[in-house]
Amino acid sequence: MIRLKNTVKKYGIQRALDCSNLHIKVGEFVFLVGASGAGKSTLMRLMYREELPTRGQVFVGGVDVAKMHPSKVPHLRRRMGIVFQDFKLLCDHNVFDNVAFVIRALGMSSREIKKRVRGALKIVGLPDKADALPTQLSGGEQQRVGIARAIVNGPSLLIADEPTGNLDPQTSMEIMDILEQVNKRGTTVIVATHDQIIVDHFKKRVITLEQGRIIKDINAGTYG
Amino acid sequence: MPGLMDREFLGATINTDIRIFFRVIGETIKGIKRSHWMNLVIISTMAAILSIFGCLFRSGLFVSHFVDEVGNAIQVSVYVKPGHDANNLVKKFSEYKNIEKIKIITREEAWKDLKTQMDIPEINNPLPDTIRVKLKDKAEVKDFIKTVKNLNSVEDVQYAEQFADKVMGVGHFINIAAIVIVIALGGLTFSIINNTIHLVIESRKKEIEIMRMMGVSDWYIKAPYIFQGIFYGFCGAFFAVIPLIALNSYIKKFAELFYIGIDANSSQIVVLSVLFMGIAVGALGSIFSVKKYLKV
Repeated sequence: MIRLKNTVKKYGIQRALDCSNLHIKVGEFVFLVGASGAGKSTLMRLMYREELPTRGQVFVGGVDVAKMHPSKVPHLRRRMGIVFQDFKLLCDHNVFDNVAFVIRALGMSSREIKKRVRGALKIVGLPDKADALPTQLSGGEQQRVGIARAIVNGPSLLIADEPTGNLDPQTSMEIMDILEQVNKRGTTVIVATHDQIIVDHFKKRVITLEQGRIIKDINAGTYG
Repeated sequence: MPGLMDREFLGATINTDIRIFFRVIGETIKGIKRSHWMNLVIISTMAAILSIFGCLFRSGLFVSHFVDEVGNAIQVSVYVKPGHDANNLVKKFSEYKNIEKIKIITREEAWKDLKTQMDIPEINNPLPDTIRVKLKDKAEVKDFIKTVKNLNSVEDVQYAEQFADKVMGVGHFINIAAIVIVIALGGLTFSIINNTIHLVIESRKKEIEIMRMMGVSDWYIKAPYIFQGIFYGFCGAFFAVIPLIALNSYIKKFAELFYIGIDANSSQIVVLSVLFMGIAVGALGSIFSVKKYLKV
């Protein structure tokens, strides 16, 4: 699914990422852990081509995204779902519209949109909140809406950057349960976090980054 | 079977494109609604600017037409010195390339004509032979008069010079004023549209960011802002046509006063130019803003 070869990303003289080899297979659930500034977000941004590597290659689904023409980037991102720490919901749109507005832009029929949005809201456990505004929801519920929006187009890869960063421990666990459910349906899930309890609880593959380098990569691992 | 599948695929793609187009229109309408009172400011400014442009353009066209018509009516009268043959002069004039029409009016004919118009006592005919000359290009009249005046056989030359010059001068002034005003006000309109679209982009930054991340096409993200600029241009042009209609009826009355016909296609040309100007400035203003502020 994802392969990095001799990938370096620098911001000025600052080396944000230096990864000689990384391979994430289809259907995996991977935690990226490390302190702030360790390179987790940079690695993710390279995957969805928000950043270009200074050197090396980043393959997503067999395609080197670093060499991809900018006009093809939307096509790459349509095969992914992205979950943000700050949810990034539109406060003046209700839950249904927040989940639907991206697939609406992709030209899906109204019937298909309804079917998909209802399906996604059911997966995240919010089937009755379609008409609510984000401001009427709790933090955990808002993040569920964010996940519903990320999975509504049936992506093969889900990238979540600190999805529980703004949530309490119990809600964080619920959110991770949902991401695990999504993974069980066949989607590759990559979660950047520094929440030790979560990482230790789920016993998935853990890639530890420190100063831009992968210092540990353990299957069914724990934090630290 | 593959042919049938291709057709089905093509049909589905076309349906998707049509849906995307209508949703882009929907996004455009949302953008316009969000601009509130700014819509009024932009459309009225554009209407004012386009109507000034349209009125100047229309007047410029009419003045050219007027100069043509009046100029056509004005001919150069060359009076032949007594004892010289008018036919010799006509032969000389024929060498002049710019001559459209030439006619000799003998002193007898002229005298007869004058007597029918005025009550003249029985005296000897004092009139000379006259050659009426009409030139193809009125701009060359001065040169022609200068050349002809130097000929030995010519007594005098007459032409309604001052009147023609004044009308042409007004025409030139209107044309220059139109260009200057269009450049200045066009720049102002461009800047207003550019700033409004910038504000709309700023207000929708979060939405744009999410769309980018979720793989929405550049076209879907950018097109509503460009359509919004075109909408302003179109509305401005629409309202600018109202003073043009009023001006046109005034021009019609003025033309009737001088017994000249109105220039048939000018109104349509001006309306189409105003429409084109409005849409072009609207589209360019928003394209510039999208390029500058919307990094997709």
